[in-house]
Amino acid sequence: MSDQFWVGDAYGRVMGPAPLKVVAELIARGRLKELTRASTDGKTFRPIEQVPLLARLLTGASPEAPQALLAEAERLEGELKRLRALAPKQRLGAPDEASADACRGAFFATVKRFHPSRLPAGAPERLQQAFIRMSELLAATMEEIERAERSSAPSYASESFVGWHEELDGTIRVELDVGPADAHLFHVADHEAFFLPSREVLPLLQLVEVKLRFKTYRREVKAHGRVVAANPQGKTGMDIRLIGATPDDRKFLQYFVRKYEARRQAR
Amino acid sequence: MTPPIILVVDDDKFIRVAVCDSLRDSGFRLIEAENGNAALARLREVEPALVILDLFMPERSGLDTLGEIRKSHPALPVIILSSLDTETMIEEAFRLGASDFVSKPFHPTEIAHSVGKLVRS
Repeated sequence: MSDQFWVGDAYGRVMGPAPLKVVAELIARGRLKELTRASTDGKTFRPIEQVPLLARLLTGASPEAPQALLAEAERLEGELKRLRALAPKQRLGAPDEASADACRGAFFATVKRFHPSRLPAGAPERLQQAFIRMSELLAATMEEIERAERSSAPSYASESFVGWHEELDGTIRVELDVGPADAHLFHVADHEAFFLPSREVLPLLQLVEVKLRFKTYRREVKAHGRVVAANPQGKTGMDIRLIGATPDDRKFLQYFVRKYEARRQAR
Repeated sequence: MTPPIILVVDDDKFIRVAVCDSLRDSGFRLIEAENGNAALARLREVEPALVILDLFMPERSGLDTLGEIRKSHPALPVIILSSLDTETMIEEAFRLGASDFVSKPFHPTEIAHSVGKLVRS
Protein backbone atom coordinates (compact mmCIF):
# COMPACT_ATOMS: atom_id res chain seq x y z
CA MET A 1 0.00 0.00 0.00
CA SER A 2 1.28 3.43 -0.90
CA ASP A 3 2.58 5.57 1.93
CA GLN A 4 2.30 8.68 -0.22
CA PHE A 5 -0.74 10.91 0.12
CA TRP A 6 -2.13 13.98 -1.56
CA VAL A 7 -4.68 16.03 0.36
CA GLY A 8 -6.93 18.85 -0.82
CA ASP A 9 -8.78 21.57 1.05
CA ALA A 10 -12.08 23.38 0.62
CA TYR A 11 -10.38 26.03 -1.54
CA GLY A 12 -9.19 23.60 -4.20
CA ARG A 13 -5.58 23.60 -3.04
CA VAL A 14 -3.56 20.39 -3.10
CA MET A 15 -0.56 19.24 -1.05
CA GLY A 16 1.48 16.12 -1.77
CA PRO A 17 2.88 13.61 -2.37
CA ALA A 18 3.92 13.27 1.23
CA PRO A 19 4.32 10.32 3.61
CA LEU A 20 1.65 9.80 6.25
CA LYS A 21 3.92 11.07 9.04
CA VAL A 22 4.30 14.41 7.22
CA VAL A 23 0.55 14.80 6.68
CA ALA A 24 -0.10 13.72 10.27
CA GLU A 25 2.26 16.32 11.67
CA LEU A 26 0.81 19.07 9.47
CA ILE A 27 -2.71 18.23 10.66
CA ALA A 28 -1.68 17.87 14.30
CA ARG A 29 0.03 21.25 14.23
CA GLY A 30 -2.95 22.93 12.62
CA ARG A 31 -1.16 23.75 9.37
CA LEU A 32 -3.58 21.81 7.18
CA LYS A 33 -7.16 22.83 7.84
CA GLU A 34 -10.51 22.26 6.16
CA LEU A 35 -9.25 19.20 4.32
CA THR A 36 -11.98 17.66 2.19
CA ARG A 37 -10.35 15.10 -0.10
CA ALA A 38 -7.38 12.80 -0.38
CA SER A 39 -5.60 10.68 -2.94
CA THR A 40 -2.95 8.00 -3.01
CA ASP A 41 -1.98 8.54 -6.65
CA GLY A 42 -2.38 12.31 -7.09
CA LYS A 43 -5.07 11.80 -9.72
CA THR A 44 -8.11 10.19 -8.15
CA PHE A 45 -9.37 12.02 -5.10
CA ARG A 46 -11.92 10.66 -2.61
CA PRO A 47 -13.66 12.36 0.30
CA ILE A 48 -11.08 12.32 3.07
CA GLU A 49 -13.47 10.47 5.38
CA GLN A 50 -13.14 7.48 3.03
CA VAL A 51 -9.38 7.25 3.54
CA PRO A 52 -9.22 5.60 6.98
CA LEU A 53 -5.62 6.47 7.81
CA LEU A 54 -6.27 10.17 7.22
CA ALA A 55 -9.81 10.22 8.58
CA ARG A 56 -8.46 9.05 11.92
CA LEU A 57 -6.12 12.03 12.01
CA LEU A 58 -8.98 14.44 11.47
CA THR A 59 -10.97 13.12 14.40
CA GLY A 60 -8.57 14.97 16.64
CA ALA A 61 -6.33 12.14 17.70
CA SER A 62 -3.01 13.92 18.06
CA PRO A 63 0.02 11.80 17.32
CA GLU A 64 1.91 13.75 19.91
CA ALA A 65 1.52 12.27 23.35
CA PRO A 66 0.86 14.69 26.21
CA GLN A 67 4.25 13.74 27.63
CA ALA A 68 5.97 14.90 24.45
CA LEU A 69 4.18 18.25 24.59
CA LEU A 70 5.11 18.71 28.23
CA ALA A 71 8.71 17.86 27.40
CA GLU A 72 8.61 20.53 24.69
CA ALA A 73 7.26 23.04 27.24
CA GLU A 74 10.10 22.14 29.61
CA ARG A 75 12.65 22.52 26.82
CA LEU A 76 11.29 25.97 25.96
CA GLU A 77 11.38 27.05 29.60
CA GLY A 78 15.06 26.09 29.71
CA GLU A 79 15.65 27.96 26.47
CA LEU A 80 13.98 31.05 27.96
CA LYS A 81 16.36 30.97 30.92
CA ARG A 82 19.34 30.60 28.60
CA LEU A 83 18.22 33.45 26.33
CA ARG A 84 17.56 35.87 29.21
CA ALA A 85 21.23 35.60 30.17
CA LEU A 86 22.37 36.70 26.71
CA ALA A 87 22.82 40.17 25.20
CA PRO A 88 19.85 41.36 23.10
CA LYS A 89 21.41 40.70 19.69
CA GLN A 90 22.69 37.30 20.79
CA ARG A 91 19.15 36.33 21.78
CA LEU A 92 18.17 36.76 18.14
CA GLY A 93 21.22 34.87 16.95
CA ALA A 94 22.58 38.06 15.36
CA PRO A 95 26.23 39.12 15.56
CA ASP A 96 27.12 42.12 17.76
CA GLU A 97 27.77 44.29 14.71
CA ALA A 98 24.37 43.50 13.12
CA SER A 99 22.26 46.52 12.16
CA ALA A 100 18.78 47.02 13.62
CA ASP A 101 17.41 46.07 10.18
CA ALA A 102 19.30 42.77 10.21
CA CYS A 103 18.08 42.17 13.78
CA ARG A 104 14.52 42.87 12.63
CA GLY A 105 14.89 40.14 10.00
CA ALA A 106 16.25 37.71 12.59
CA PHE A 107 13.49 38.67 15.04
CA PHE A 108 10.77 38.07 12.47
CA ALA A 109 12.21 34.71 11.44
CA THR A 110 12.40 33.60 15.08
CA VAL A 111 9.21 34.99 16.58
CA LYS A 112 6.91 33.40 14.01
CA ARG A 113 7.86 29.98 15.39
CA PHE A 114 6.04 30.94 18.59
CA HIS A 115 2.87 32.37 17.07
CA PRO A 116 -0.23 30.79 18.70
CA SER A 117 -1.17 29.29 15.31
CA ARG A 118 2.00 27.16 15.56
CA LEU A 119 0.88 25.45 18.75
CA PRO A 120 0.34 21.73 18.29
CA ALA A 121 -3.21 20.47 18.61
CA GLY A 122 -4.10 19.85 22.24
CA ALA A 123 -1.16 21.84 23.55
CA PRO A 124 -1.22 21.94 27.36
CA GLU A 125 -1.46 25.27 29.20
CA ARG A 126 2.24 25.01 30.15
CA LEU A 127 3.30 24.88 26.50
CA GLN A 128 0.94 27.71 25.57
CA GLN A 129 2.47 29.84 28.32
CA ALA A 130 6.00 28.99 27.14
CA PHE A 131 5.06 30.18 23.62
CA ILE A 132 3.65 33.43 25.05
CA ARG A 133 6.70 34.07 27.24
CA MET A 134 9.06 33.34 24.34
CA SER A 135 7.16 35.76 22.07
CA GLU A 136 7.20 38.41 24.80
CA LEU A 137 10.93 38.00 25.41
CA LEU A 138 11.72 38.27 21.69
CA ALA A 139 9.45 41.32 21.27
CA ALA A 140 11.03 43.02 24.31
CA THR A 141 14.46 42.19 22.89
CA MET A 142 13.64 43.82 19.56
CA GLU A 143 12.23 46.87 21.35
CA GLU A 144 15.45 47.13 23.33
CA ILE A 145 17.54 47.03 20.15
CA GLU A 146 15.33 49.64 18.49
CA ARG A 147 15.41 51.87 21.59
CA ALA A 148 19.21 51.77 21.51
CA GLU A 149 19.19 52.70 17.84
CA ARG A 150 16.65 55.50 18.41
CA SER A 151 18.65 57.05 21.22
CA SER A 152 21.61 57.39 18.88
CA ALA A 153 19.51 58.66 15.95
CA PRO A 154 19.17 62.40 15.28
CA SER A 155 15.78 64.01 14.68
CA TYR A 156 14.89 64.72 11.08
CA ALA A 157 14.57 68.16 9.52
CA SER A 158 10.81 68.47 9.65
CA GLU A 159 10.79 71.75 7.73
CA SER A 160 11.90 69.80 4.66
CA PHE A 161 8.95 67.47 4.84
CA VAL A 162 6.16 67.93 2.33
CA GLY A 163 4.11 64.78 2.90
CA TRP A 164 1.62 62.69 1.00
CA HIS A 165 -1.84 63.18 -0.44
CA GLU A 166 -4.42 61.18 -2.32
CA GLU A 167 -5.51 62.22 -5.80
CA LEU A 168 -9.14 61.99 -6.97
CA ASP A 169 -8.29 58.83 -8.91
CA GLY A 170 -6.97 57.17 -5.73
CA THR A 171 -3.28 57.62 -6.56
CA ILE A 172 -1.22 58.34 -3.45
CA ARG A 173 1.53 60.88 -4.09
CA VAL A 174 4.47 61.20 -1.73
CA GLU A 175 6.66 64.28 -2.02
CA LEU A 176 9.74 65.22 -0.08
CA ASP A 177 12.22 68.05 -0.27
CA VAL A 178 15.49 66.42 0.63
CA GLY A 179 18.52 68.32 1.81
CA PRO A 180 21.89 67.13 3.11
CA ALA A 181 20.53 67.17 6.69
CA ASP A 182 17.92 64.63 5.68
CA ALA A 183 20.29 61.91 4.51
CA HIS A 184 19.53 59.95 7.65
CA LEU A 185 15.92 59.58 6.45
CA PHE A 186 17.31 56.98 4.10
CA HIS A 187 18.42 53.57 5.21
CA VAL A 188 22.17 53.34 5.30
CA ALA A 189 22.17 49.75 4.04
CA ASP A 190 19.30 50.26 1.58
CA HIS A 191 19.52 53.67 -0.06
CA GLU A 192 16.22 53.21 -1.84
CA ALA A 193 14.19 52.98 1.35
CA PHE A 194 13.37 56.07 3.38
CA PHE A 195 11.32 57.13 6.37
CA LEU A 196 8.27 59.30 5.72
CA PRO A 197 6.99 61.08 8.83
CA SER A 198 3.20 60.96 8.95
CA ARG A 199 0.54 60.80 11.66
CA GLU A 200 -1.61 58.71 9.37
CA VAL A 201 0.04 55.51 8.23
CA LEU A 202 -0.89 53.91 4.93
CA PRO A 203 -1.55 50.16 4.70
CA LEU A 204 1.47 47.90 4.32
CA LEU A 205 2.42 47.28 0.67
CA GLN A 206 0.34 50.32 -0.43
CA LEU A 207 1.67 51.46 -3.81
CA VAL A 208 2.54 55.16 -3.97
CA GLU A 209 4.00 57.60 -6.48
CA VAL A 210 7.16 59.16 -5.06
CA LYS A 211 8.85 62.42 -5.96
CA LEU A 212 12.05 63.34 -4.11
CA ARG A 213 13.42 66.83 -4.77
CA PHE A 214 17.12 67.30 -4.06
CA LYS A 215 17.46 71.08 -4.25
CA THR A 216 21.22 71.08 -3.64
CA TYR A 217 21.64 68.97 -6.75
CA ARG A 218 18.72 70.44 -8.73
CA ARG A 219 17.53 66.93 -9.19
CA GLU A 220 14.24 65.09 -8.89
CA VAL A 221 13.90 61.34 -8.36
CA LYS A 222 10.55 59.94 -9.44
CA ALA A 223 9.58 56.32 -8.92
CA HIS A 224 6.91 54.07 -7.55
CA GLY A 225 7.18 53.06 -3.93
CA ARG A 226 5.61 50.72 -1.47
CA VAL A 227 4.95 51.06 2.25
CA VAL A 228 7.17 48.44 3.88
CA ALA A 229 6.94 49.30 7.59
CA ALA A 230 4.53 51.19 9.83
CA ASN A 231 5.89 53.34 12.67
CA PRO A 232 9.37 51.79 12.35
CA GLN A 233 11.49 51.90 15.49
CA GLY A 234 8.69 53.73 17.28
CA LYS A 235 8.86 56.74 14.92
CA THR A 236 5.49 58.10 13.79
CA GLY A 237 5.34 57.45 10.08
CA MET A 238 6.25 54.75 7.64
CA ASP A 239 9.14 53.32 5.70
CA ILE A 240 8.74 53.49 1.96
CA ARG A 241 10.84 51.53 -0.48
CA LEU A 242 11.31 52.78 -4.02
CA ILE A 243 10.47 50.43 -6.86
CA GLY A 244 11.81 50.84 -10.35
CA ALA A 245 14.07 53.85 -9.81
CA THR A 246 16.37 54.29 -12.79
CA PRO A 247 19.94 52.97 -12.44
CA ASP A 248 21.14 56.57 -12.57
CA ASP A 249 18.80 57.62 -9.74
CA ARG A 250 19.79 54.59 -7.69
CA LYS A 251 23.43 55.50 -8.10
CA PHE A 252 22.68 59.07 -7.11
CA LEU A 253 20.78 57.99 -3.97
CA GLN A 254 23.66 55.78 -2.97
CA TYR A 255 26.10 58.65 -3.46
CA PHE A 256 23.89 61.11 -1.56
CA VAL A 257 23.30 58.88 1.46
CA ARG A 258 26.90 57.76 1.70
CA LYS A 259 28.25 61.28 1.42
CA TYR A 260 26.02 63.04 3.94
CA GLU A 261 25.25 60.23 6.31
CA ALA A 262 28.94 59.33 6.59
CA ARG A 263 29.73 63.01 7.24
CA ARG A 264 27.03 63.24 9.91
CA GLN A 265 28.19 60.10 11.62
CA ALA A 266 31.77 61.34 11.61
CA ARG A 267 30.77 64.49 13.57
CA MET B 1 23.40 41.42 -20.42
CA THR B 2 19.92 40.11 -19.69
CA PRO B 3 19.02 40.00 -16.01
CA PRO B 4 18.61 36.60 -14.35
CA ILE B 5 14.99 35.46 -14.17
CA ILE B 6 13.24 34.40 -10.98
CA LEU B 7 9.97 32.48 -11.28
CA VAL B 8 7.62 33.13 -8.34
CA VAL B 9 4.94 30.44 -7.97
CA ASP B 10 2.11 31.01 -5.50
CA ASP B 11 -1.68 31.00 -5.82
CA ASP B 12 -1.89 34.04 -3.53
CA LYS B 13 -1.37 37.21 -5.53
CA PHE B 14 -0.54 39.16 -2.37
CA ILE B 15 2.37 36.81 -1.68
CA ARG B 16 3.59 37.03 -5.28
CA VAL B 17 3.57 40.84 -5.09
CA ALA B 18 5.36 40.83 -1.73
CA VAL B 19 8.06 38.44 -3.02
CA CYS B 20 8.54 40.41 -6.23
CA ASP B 21 8.83 43.67 -4.28
CA SER B 22 11.46 42.08 -2.04
CA LEU B 23 13.59 41.27 -5.07
CA ARG B 24 12.67 43.77 -7.77
CA ASP B 25 15.56 46.12 -7.14
CA SER B 26 18.15 43.36 -6.90
CA GLY B 27 18.57 43.24 -10.66
CA PHE B 28 16.35 40.23 -11.36
CA ARG B 29 13.56 39.89 -13.89
CA LEU B 30 10.60 38.49 -12.01
CA ILE B 31 7.92 36.36 -13.58
CA GLU B 32 4.92 34.82 -11.86
CA ALA B 33 2.81 31.70 -12.01
CA GLU B 34 -0.30 31.00 -9.96
CA ASN B 35 0.02 27.23 -9.68
CA GLY B 36 2.28 24.29 -10.48
CA ASN B 37 0.93 23.67 -13.98
CA ALA B 38 1.39 27.31 -14.93
CA ALA B 39 4.92 27.19 -13.48
CA LEU B 40 5.88 24.14 -15.57
CA ALA B 41 4.47 25.86 -18.67
CA ARG B 42 6.61 28.93 -17.94
CA LEU B 43 9.66 26.70 -17.52
CA ARG B 44 9.21 25.48 -21.08
CA GLU B 45 9.37 29.09 -22.29
CA VAL B 46 12.11 30.64 -20.15
CA GLU B 47 15.24 29.56 -18.31
CA PRO B 48 15.02 31.03 -14.81
CA ALA B 49 18.00 31.24 -12.49
CA LEU B 50 15.82 30.28 -9.55
CA VAL B 51 12.26 29.30 -8.62
CA ILE B 52 10.35 30.33 -5.48
CA LEU B 53 7.63 27.76 -4.93
CA ASP B 54 4.58 27.52 -2.66
CA LEU B 55 3.54 24.03 -1.49
CA PHE B 56 -0.24 24.27 -1.19
CA MET B 57 -1.77 25.33 -4.51
CA PRO B 58 -4.69 24.43 -6.77
CA GLU B 59 -4.32 22.02 -9.70
CA ARG B 60 -0.76 20.86 -9.02
CA SER B 61 0.87 20.92 -5.61
CA GLY B 62 4.27 22.39 -4.87
CA LEU B 63 5.88 18.99 -4.13
CA ASP B 64 4.51 17.56 -7.41
CA THR B 65 5.87 20.61 -9.21
CA LEU B 66 9.22 20.27 -7.47
CA GLY B 67 9.42 16.65 -8.63
CA GLU B 68 8.75 17.67 -12.23
CA ILE B 69 11.27 20.49 -12.03
CA ARG B 70 13.92 18.11 -10.75
CA LYS B 71 13.32 15.82 -13.77
CA SER B 72 13.69 18.60 -16.34
CA HIS B 73 16.03 21.02 -14.49
CA PRO B 74 18.12 18.99 -12.01
CA ALA B 75 20.38 21.90 -11.05
CA LEU B 76 17.81 24.71 -10.89
CA PRO B 77 17.69 26.17 -7.34
CA VAL B 78 14.19 26.01 -5.85
CA ILE B 79 13.24 27.86 -2.66
CA ILE B 80 10.13 26.56 -0.94
CA LEU B 81 8.03 29.37 0.55
CA SER B 82 5.32 27.92 2.73
CA SER B 83 3.51 28.01 6.04
CA LEU B 84 3.61 24.19 6.09
CA ASP B 85 6.87 24.41 7.97
CA THR B 86 6.85 21.42 10.28
CA GLU B 87 10.11 19.54 10.70
CA THR B 88 9.02 16.50 8.71
CA MET B 89 7.66 18.69 5.89
CA ILE B 90 10.90 20.64 5.64
CA GLU B 91 12.87 17.37 5.61
CA GLU B 92 10.59 16.00 2.88
CA ALA B 93 10.99 19.13 0.77
CA PHE B 94 14.79 18.90 1.00
CA ARG B 95 14.65 15.17 0.26
CA LEU B 96 12.72 15.93 -2.94
CA GLY B 97 15.33 18.46 -4.00
CA ALA B 98 14.44 21.83 -2.48
CA SER B 99 17.42 24.15 -2.14
CA ASP B 100 16.06 26.20 0.76
CA PHE B 101 12.89 26.59 2.82
CA VAL B 102 11.52 29.97 3.93
CA SER B 103 8.52 29.99 6.26
CA LYS B 104 5.49 32.20 5.79
CA PRO B 105 4.93 34.84 6.96
CA PHE B 106 8.31 36.07 5.83
CA HIS B 107 10.39 39.19 6.14
CA PRO B 108 11.65 40.61 2.82
CA THR B 109 15.23 40.21 3.98
CA GLU B 110 14.70 36.44 4.47
CA ILE B 111 13.76 36.04 0.81
CA ALA B 112 16.49 38.37 -0.42
CA HIS B 113 19.07 36.57 1.72
CA SER B 114 18.03 33.11 0.51
CA VAL B 115 17.96 34.17 -3.14
CA GLY B 116 21.31 35.95 -2.84
CA LYS B 117 22.91 32.89 -1.26
CA LEU B 118 21.67 30.50 -3.96
CA VAL B 119 22.24 32.72 -6.97
CA ARG B 120 25.78 33.55 -5.82
CA SER B 121 26.59 29.88 -5.33
